[in-house]
Amino acid sequence: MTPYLLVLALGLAALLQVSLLPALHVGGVYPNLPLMVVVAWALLRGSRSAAIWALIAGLWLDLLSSRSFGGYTLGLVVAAYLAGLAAQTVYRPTIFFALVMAAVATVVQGGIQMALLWLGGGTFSPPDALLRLVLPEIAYNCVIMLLVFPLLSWVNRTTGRERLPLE
Amino acid sequence: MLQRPRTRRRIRWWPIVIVLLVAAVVLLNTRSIDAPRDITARVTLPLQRLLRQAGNELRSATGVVGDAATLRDRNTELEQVVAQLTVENLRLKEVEAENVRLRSLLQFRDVNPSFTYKGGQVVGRVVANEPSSIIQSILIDIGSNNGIEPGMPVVTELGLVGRVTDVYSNAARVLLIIDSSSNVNTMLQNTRLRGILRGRAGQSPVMDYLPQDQSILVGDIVVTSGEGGSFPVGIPVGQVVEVEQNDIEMFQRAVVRTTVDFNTLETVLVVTNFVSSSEQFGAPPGNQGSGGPPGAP
Repeated sequence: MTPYLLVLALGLAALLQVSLLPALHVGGVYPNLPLMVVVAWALLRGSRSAAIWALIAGLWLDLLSSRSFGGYTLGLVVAAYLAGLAAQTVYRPTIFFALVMAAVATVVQGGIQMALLWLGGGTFSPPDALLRLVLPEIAYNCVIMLLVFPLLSWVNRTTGRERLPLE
Repeated sequence: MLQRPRTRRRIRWWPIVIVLLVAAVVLLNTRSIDAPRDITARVTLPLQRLLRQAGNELRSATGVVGDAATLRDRNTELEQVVAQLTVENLRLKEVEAENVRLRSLLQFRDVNPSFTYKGGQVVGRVVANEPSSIIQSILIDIGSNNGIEPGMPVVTELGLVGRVTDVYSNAARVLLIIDSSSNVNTMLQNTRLRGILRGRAGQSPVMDYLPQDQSILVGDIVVTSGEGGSFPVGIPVGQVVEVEQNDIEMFQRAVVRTTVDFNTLETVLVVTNFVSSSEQFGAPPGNQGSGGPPGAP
């Protein structure tokens, strides 16, 4: 895998996030594919590798959004770091552990987005936003994680000890 | 003695450094990033259009499975009919109210007598949303090449959608009226009471700054007031579904259900023949009207 391929693959994930997944919303909520990819990779390969993936995916998302540049990158990098730290506490991450981390990462990412929104002068009630946006997104993200984690586990097994681009 | 591997220390520092750098970028954020975003939009727009089309088709394909889904479709159709009739009724009421005012004011002169949506609209397709469902903005596939400019109002046949905030060569970003940073000057159609419609993350928007001594009824129609110069007068916005009144507060608020269903938005109209005065005077991009109570300086 070349660095270019990695950048393009994460770019495709970002494009799916802004174009395809919003069309598949449930009650106005849609999943966060790049977040799930980064968290799954952090569980499989650790914080450092996942932080680089988070940086690339985050930059793509920031380029495809209209808000403060860096907001999505920040959320993804923090989630990657936390997931990587959590992965160190278990011998081998299972799908159940991945689902728990998907939920934690969704809350962290949602919290960062709301904090940035609040800093930008946005008006919202945090409990309502948590109940109506973040909690449904957790459920949706867990479904995505059921697909993403096995896929990235296969990539991890296939590449073995080989260092992936930019790692 | 066992020594801690050096790589472990790097693992701890790497993300922290990145987080600090990104946080610095966020805090020092400027709008100088428009050029890279323009290039990104230009390069990725065809793919975004394809992906959105695939998403819409996938959604409609999964929507016709089973009887429940058929009923849901039928319900959606009926809801659309009801919404259209509501809007038609609303427009008729608006015309009637205008007639009454014109009769009472002998020397009435409308500042924009020839204003019409027709002849000044460009149709755009929605190709992307924000990466997070907490933020409510859309990307449409028309931009400065099609005569789109920042500040132009965006509508559908059902009512107000939002306002153009960022314009690229072949795409434009629209801030929806349900976004938590959106403020729109509005009024109640029957009482002409002025207020500001504020979007709220995860909730229906609320019409704020309504005087405590005025009666507001559930079902009252909300339209744009035209104050602040961001939107033309009389564009349908929604209907009051709940009134929040608290004696210790200076104003009461009304929760509004919008006429436009933002979850199923596929095409929009950009009103190109309306000059937004707030844009001329350099209003901040997120602000779609004044931020304070109506009538405040």
